[in-house]
Amino acid sequence: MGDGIPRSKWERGLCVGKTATKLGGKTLVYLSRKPFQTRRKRTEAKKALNRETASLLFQGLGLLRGTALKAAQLLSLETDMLPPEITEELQKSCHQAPPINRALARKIVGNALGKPPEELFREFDGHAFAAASLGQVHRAVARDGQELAVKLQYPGIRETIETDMRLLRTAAWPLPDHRFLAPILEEIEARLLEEVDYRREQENMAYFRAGLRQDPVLIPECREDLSSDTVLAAEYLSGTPLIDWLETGPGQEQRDRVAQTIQDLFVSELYRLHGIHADPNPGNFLVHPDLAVGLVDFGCVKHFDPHFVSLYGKLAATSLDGGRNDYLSLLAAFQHKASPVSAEVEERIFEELQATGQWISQLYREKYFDFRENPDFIPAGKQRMFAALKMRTHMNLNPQFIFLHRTRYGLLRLFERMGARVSFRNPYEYM
Amino acid sequence: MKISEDRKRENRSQIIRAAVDAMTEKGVKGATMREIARAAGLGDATIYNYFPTKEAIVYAYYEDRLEEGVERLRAIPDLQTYGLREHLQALFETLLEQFLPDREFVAGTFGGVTFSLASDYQYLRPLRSRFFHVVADMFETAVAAGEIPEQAFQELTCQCLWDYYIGLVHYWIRDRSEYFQNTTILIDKSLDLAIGFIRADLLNKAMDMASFLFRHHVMARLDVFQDRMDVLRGQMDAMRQRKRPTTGGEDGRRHSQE
Repeated sequence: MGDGIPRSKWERGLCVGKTATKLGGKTLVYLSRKPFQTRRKRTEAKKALNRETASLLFQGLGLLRGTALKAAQLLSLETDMLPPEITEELQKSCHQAPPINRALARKIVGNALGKPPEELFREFDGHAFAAASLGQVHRAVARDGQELAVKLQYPGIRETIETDMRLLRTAAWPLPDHRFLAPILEEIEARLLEEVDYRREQENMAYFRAGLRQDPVLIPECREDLSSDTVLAAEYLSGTPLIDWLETGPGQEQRDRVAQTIQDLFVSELYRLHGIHADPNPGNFLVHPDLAVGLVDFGCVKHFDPHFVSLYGKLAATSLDGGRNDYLSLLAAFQHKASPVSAEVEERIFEELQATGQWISQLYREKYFDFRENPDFIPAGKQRMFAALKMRTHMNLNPQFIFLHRTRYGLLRLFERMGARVSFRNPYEYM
Repeated sequence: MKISEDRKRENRSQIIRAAVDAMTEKGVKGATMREIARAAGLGDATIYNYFPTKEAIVYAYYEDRLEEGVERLRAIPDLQTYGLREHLQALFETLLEQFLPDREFVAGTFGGVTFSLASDYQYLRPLRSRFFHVVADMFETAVAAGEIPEQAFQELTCQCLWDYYIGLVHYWIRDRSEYFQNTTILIDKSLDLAIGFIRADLLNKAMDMASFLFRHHVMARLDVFQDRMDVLRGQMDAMRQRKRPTTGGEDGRRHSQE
């Protein structure tokens, strides 16, 4: 347990400082060599530098654990900046908040709900069965016999988010890409704060449960009587996390079916509820033996305005069948709230939107899209994500569009990992 | 007038309650024994059958809380399965929870109680030894369970935890975070460290090293010293023999055999 997590704020600061110094040094080496190299060599060197700096930055973050680790994870998933080996490492350590032992778990429950666990639950397992974002999940049985998953938040985590993110910004400063990282870090901070807001999560869970009662999807029932802003009790869903399920080597048909369920779920969320579960982490999908899919962790949910959703529904069809004018007017509608920009910037935004539209519309071209037969699809998407991120520095591209596409990209990557064949056609977008 | 044990116990806790109220309001100095007695519904003299001084009441308060805390700890359903670290953490959390209703009183008196001068040590001793006893019990359980090595210096470890506890209460008194969660975090983090020390058997190892150094280096010095002494003694003997040549000089190496 006591394995050297830097504890105090300045100690954490020191740790970031160390990383920053290392990074600065690397950048310096690169800059000093720069004038003496050919252009091609230069790009190569730059690439190598990026890789090195990224891995150094993430090493530093790994030392911090908690918030910083979570941020690192988000950063890596969203920007795809890192070599796959490191991303894998990060995913393993996914949500590694400081561990909560039984004595502390009692204290947390007592603080949040006013009574110790043995007075609130028929049974309460002091040992966690899963890690959650910045906390952990315990199994319990309610007084009325319902099986529960109780998520506990490490005390004071909300307060550390702000400090940690400030440190992260300092650490990111010497990175060559720091200017484009800044808005991402800001977003990550907002997202982390959202994730530790368990009240909000309860509302989201209830909203999705009420709106999405459809057959192969299970959404847990929230127990408001046993929840607070730092403790969240919900119905326990059995089933295997998708990532573990894939390890068991399910057949093609089974993988296709699960992927299809997840895709259909996404479509229903977006077009019926105008909100999406925006954390396509494979740990958040639980596969049941009958292939029903349970959805958990509603810490990150994005709501969209209905007008945007109806516009978005036209994207695939317009990209596939529409003329240039249809396309332009759709894109103009996407941007109608943005402040006026120069013709040149507008042109770039249009280009970007068009490229994204073309990329995503490939999915609808045939009745089924087979990820095994289209190995170029995800790398192309990565390009789109990267371009969109860069454009966000001047925030002209509709932010809802970016949020939506980030989640979509995450889901598509998941389908690719599953090697699935999925039908993307649906009545809302393209039949 | 004879009164029952129950009645006595009740009076005692009434007095403590009244004293806490009075001292919270007026401070330890401001509250008087008479006032406390009246608030407890006792005669001005009767109170002295229970406590000779105000200070004694204050110590009694802390003893009672410790006792209650230990009781509450025992009530934790799966306590037997707790490891040493969880045991200690639960103990400290429970003790602090005991203080919560009387936080102001604790803030006003705890420093005086634990940093008391020699004259008050007779009051502090039972409290301290009770705490030692509770902690030592936990250690023995952990040793029996094979969780930690035998503690050769358990008394010292207990003393460290006692000091830690005092520090913790002081931190808690100054903690302004919501639910005093900074104290909770402090306990969590610092026990990690403390248990690391205990698990790694640092104290015993330090003593091992000290005894090694003592044996091999200090003792070696003693050997050298011994040799020199022998040489010296030999020379003295030789001198003595020179003074008395009649005893024969065949034994010039005697000193080396001694």
